[in-house]
Amino acid sequence: MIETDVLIVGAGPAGLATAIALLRNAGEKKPRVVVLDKGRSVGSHVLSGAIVDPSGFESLLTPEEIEKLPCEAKVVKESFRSLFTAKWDMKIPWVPPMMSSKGFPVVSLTKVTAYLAQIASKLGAEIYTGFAVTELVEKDGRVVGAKTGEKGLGKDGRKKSNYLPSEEIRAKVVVLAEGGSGILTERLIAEKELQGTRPQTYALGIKELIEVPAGTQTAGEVMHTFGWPSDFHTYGGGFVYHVSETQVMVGYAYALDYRRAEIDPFRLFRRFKSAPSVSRHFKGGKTVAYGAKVIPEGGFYAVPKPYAPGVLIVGDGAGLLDSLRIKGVHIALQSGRAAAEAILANTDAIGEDYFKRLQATNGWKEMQRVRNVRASFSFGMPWGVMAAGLAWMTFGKIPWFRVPGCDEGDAAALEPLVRDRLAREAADDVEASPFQPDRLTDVFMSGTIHEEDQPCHLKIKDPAACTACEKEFGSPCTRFCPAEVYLREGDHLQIDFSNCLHCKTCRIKCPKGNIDWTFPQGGDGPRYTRM
Amino acid sequence: MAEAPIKIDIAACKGCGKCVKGCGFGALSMVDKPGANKIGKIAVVDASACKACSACVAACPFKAISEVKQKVYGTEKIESYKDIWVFAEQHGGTVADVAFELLAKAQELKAQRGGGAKVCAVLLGSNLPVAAEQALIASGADVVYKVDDPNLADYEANVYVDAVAQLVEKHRPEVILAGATAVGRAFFARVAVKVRTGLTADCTMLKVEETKNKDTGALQMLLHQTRPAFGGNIMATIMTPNHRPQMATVRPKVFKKGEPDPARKGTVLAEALKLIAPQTKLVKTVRDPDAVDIAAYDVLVSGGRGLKGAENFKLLARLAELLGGEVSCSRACVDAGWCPATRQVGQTGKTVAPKLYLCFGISGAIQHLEGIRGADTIIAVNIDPNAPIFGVADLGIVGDALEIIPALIKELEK
Amino acid sequence: MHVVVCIKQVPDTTNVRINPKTNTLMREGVESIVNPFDEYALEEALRLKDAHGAHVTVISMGPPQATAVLREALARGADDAFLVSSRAFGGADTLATSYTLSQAIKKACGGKTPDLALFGKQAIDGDTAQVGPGVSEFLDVPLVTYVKKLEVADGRFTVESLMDDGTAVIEGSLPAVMTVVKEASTPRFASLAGWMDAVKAPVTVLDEKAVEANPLWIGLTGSPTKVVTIFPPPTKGGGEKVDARGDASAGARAISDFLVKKGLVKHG
Repeated sequence: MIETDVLIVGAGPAGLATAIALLRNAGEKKPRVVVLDKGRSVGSHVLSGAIVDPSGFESLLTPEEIEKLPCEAKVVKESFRSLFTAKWDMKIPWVPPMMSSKGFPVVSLTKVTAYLAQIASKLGAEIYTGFAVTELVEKDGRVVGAKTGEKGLGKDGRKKSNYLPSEEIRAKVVVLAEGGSGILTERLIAEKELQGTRPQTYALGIKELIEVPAGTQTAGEVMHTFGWPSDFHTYGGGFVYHVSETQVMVGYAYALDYRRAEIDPFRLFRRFKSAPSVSRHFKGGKTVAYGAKVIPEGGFYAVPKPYAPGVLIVGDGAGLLDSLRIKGVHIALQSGRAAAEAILANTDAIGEDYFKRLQATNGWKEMQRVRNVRASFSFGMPWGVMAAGLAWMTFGKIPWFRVPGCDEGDAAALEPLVRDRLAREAADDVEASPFQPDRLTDVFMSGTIHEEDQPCHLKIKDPAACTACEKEFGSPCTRFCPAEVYLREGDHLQIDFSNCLHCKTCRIKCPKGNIDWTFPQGGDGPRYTRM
Repeated sequence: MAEAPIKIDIAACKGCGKCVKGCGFGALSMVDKPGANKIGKIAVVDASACKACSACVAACPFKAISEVKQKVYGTEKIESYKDIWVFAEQHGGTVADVAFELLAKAQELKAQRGGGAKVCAVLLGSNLPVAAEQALIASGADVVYKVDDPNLADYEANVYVDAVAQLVEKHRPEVILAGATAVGRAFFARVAVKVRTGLTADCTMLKVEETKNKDTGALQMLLHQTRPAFGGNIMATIMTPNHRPQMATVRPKVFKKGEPDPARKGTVLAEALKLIAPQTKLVKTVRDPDAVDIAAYDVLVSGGRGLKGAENFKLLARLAELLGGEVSCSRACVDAGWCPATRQVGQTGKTVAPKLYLCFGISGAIQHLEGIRGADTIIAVNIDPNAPIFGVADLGIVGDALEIIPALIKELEK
Repeated sequence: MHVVVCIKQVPDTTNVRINPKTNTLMREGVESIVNPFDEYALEEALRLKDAHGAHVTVISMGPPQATAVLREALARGADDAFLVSSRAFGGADTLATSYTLSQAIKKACGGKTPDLALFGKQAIDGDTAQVGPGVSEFLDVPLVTYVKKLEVADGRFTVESLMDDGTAVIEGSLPAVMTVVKEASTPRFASLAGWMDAVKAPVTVLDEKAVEANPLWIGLTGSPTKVVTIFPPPTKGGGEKVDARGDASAGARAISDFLVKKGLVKHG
């Protein structure tokens, strides 16, 4: 039996911040800190825009460490555009002050995470990648540890010659830092009834890294858009970040509480890229990397109680995200620090202590301030914009009540398919070009690989539900998956699990709640290196 | 401590970084040196990564990089090495095709080399039939060095190494070529070490050209050996300037064999060598009909989703038979259960590099194309004129695969 | 029994590309991995440890970051690890590498030859398959290549070796050098417990003095072959396109003519 003081599940920004804060502030007696990640290496499964609010690094990293953060550009020029149609858009004359990121670092979160891991390792954290933590171990209602997943199982579930059994680790405290829609986190929230005022809602973020000829773009120029190709009722927006002289990050986030079953977010992403005011940013460029991940954008009211006996939840898993600016990295880092402080203080109620410290952070106060913005958007864009303005100007005092909205969850929002709309939506009206690869080519560029001879990790709970869904919704999984995992072959649903990007959209949006996302073999999945 | 083969004159370096861009091996980098020049950076070389290819010397616009002449520790009396040898692999008295292909190439190299070079075949075996040496002469051998010895009855790596090494010491060939077969690749590599020279494996191009030796400044007739590296993602040209013999292996079917001329004249020299005994014993050979390694075939006939069913793969099998190849398939066919996974080509299947890849009803998604990166010639048949496979095909046929396959079979049966 | 396995850290070559404009290797986003063939060689060694209590030593020649592959081998069960690293070894071709490794092997085995030295068939960056055979010559022991099944008993071995047209069953005596193919046993995973031990285990670094190398036989100085240029492979495509919709025989003829022209089929 392996024993440790602290077990952190997930080597993302939140998990590593916890490790760094623990070891840095422990004084003489350093706790044993073990961090486990299901990706092949640190950062393999980490993906984000990203323009990071630098306040997250304060009190966590030393000034020299912040100086050396892998960042090739700081925001020098920012703009907001409202896109109305494929050809017509308008630049917002001034950048709303609450959305401004002037001077913030524009980074590849994958690289920043790898950098944080180096710091954590130097401080003494033990980081092991390629291990999926598949189960929490409980004793008398208290989480006392966790188990890693088996490796070396064949397609039919038999043990292959290189079978590796599950290993158990006992810990005094387990910190769940699994990211958005984390499996263990979701299970824990359900089991211990930790859910927030309303269920968590997500947006699917799809992103590419485009290499452009040097000298044509300004590093540090960033643009956010909203409107087209999203419709009035769905919260969607795009971004273009010039990360360096030769690299541009492009992404589109689309709220998963969308209603229309014919929607294909990947196609929306392509359309977004084709708008002239967007495509001019990568003239002569070529896509070189791709990825997708869900963003927990429910905000303040969707945050669960982030602790239970023996376990704390940090980062995206706890829904810690400023739902107006769509920024969560800095809050993730702050939550890691708060968790570490609570663990080191070692009171009788570490969980409550953690939550109190979390609520004292700036990130939490921001979330409180913009707590009604997300729900307001569900009434339509103008309402959302108004709510955003009000929240900012009055520091969240108006509206003082909770605006209802987004209460039913993402899957329930889907309406039955109107078949006539399908053909129109499926029409691929986007011109082919090196920065408009097709979906399979994009999947290839995510580097995602899975051992072929293993049980399919995407389990269909009830095949009859899929047949019913095809009639009612037209199998939306074949459209909302950004990796073309689900395909309809006649009356059979083909699942190409090896394309999976671990984005979690399917378990969130399947209208029948019919997909059980389980863990593939540790080490499998995307291999992001610079997302 | 080894010195770097290139030297950077810091005074002349203007910090432009062009050398870094020109280095194919990442051996150069720019470091901060405020005040050294306007840009404030100078180039430095990592001696352990430098391959002495001198690309940086050419790339520098300010002539700040120069080659450091390395002291040459090469083969002694290098001028005494003559002739172009070909290892004539044989099994059961039959010379392998690859030997004839190499003899044809050797004749070309002989013409390029000039200077009275001869093409010589090396034939090792036991109770060798006369037909073998005759076939070699007919296909381009001016001389056949024959070693007939009971220790050479079965191919045994260690005895073969001994035999070839002894011949090399005795006769001093300037060049030796061998087929990159299971036999050739293994024992040949050991010969190169035994006689202390350089070997380049899996060459796809060979030629002899007058070249300036970077270290001695002398002009030499050198064998330029070009081969793929990094899984076929780059090509490299390699030379062995100071050591002899220059050794290279070549995959079967890379070069074409010529028409044998039975009237050709040549000399057979029987060599009696004292050989070591075999160090290992071949107990038996097992031919496994079920285990098909599609990567071992030069011709692959591949089927995709467009084949529409398992029965149509029987047609492909007949086509493969006619072309002397094997059947392979795309991922979709394995998913559909039409073909076993051992025949799957692609990123999650096998990577193949056949001389000919003839595919039907395969769209050419990048995951499939990754598996055929090294294919020499690609012929594709697909009903969709915009299928991505046509972007890499040397010949594309837009049409119904299920009609074209039987038509092609008929054509080839003629 | 003492078994030595030589493993190499290589770039994940599925992603290595040459920039067609500058003829340079594009490195960004390319990860370093254990050479896949070496994993199979290591697995054979670990099976001998399981079955016969063999002592397994892993050796890797490379820059300091190659320590990562040694740790992975230790995590899987290897007993000790040596990193052969020095500026002096830089630029080595297969001859210089074979020499350097054989010196390191002798050093790691206290001046003696191990019972068995295992190599992967080839490294996926160099693709030469020459180092295993080269080391067998320097160690002066018999060589067996393309091993897919290995059994050892009382100082004798029986292997199944993959030939072009089938499998050869070969017997012999130890010591020997063998190269291992991917058709051999599936490499095991390192357990979490294994990794926890491996990160603490020492890795001995050997430089040219430690392996008592002749300076004329190592690095660039000891390398007879020299890479002169690298360039991207010829781009495929842009070939002829024939429309044979509705006329299958025209399509068939186009193919067969093409095959004859290319000499891929005899016209009879």
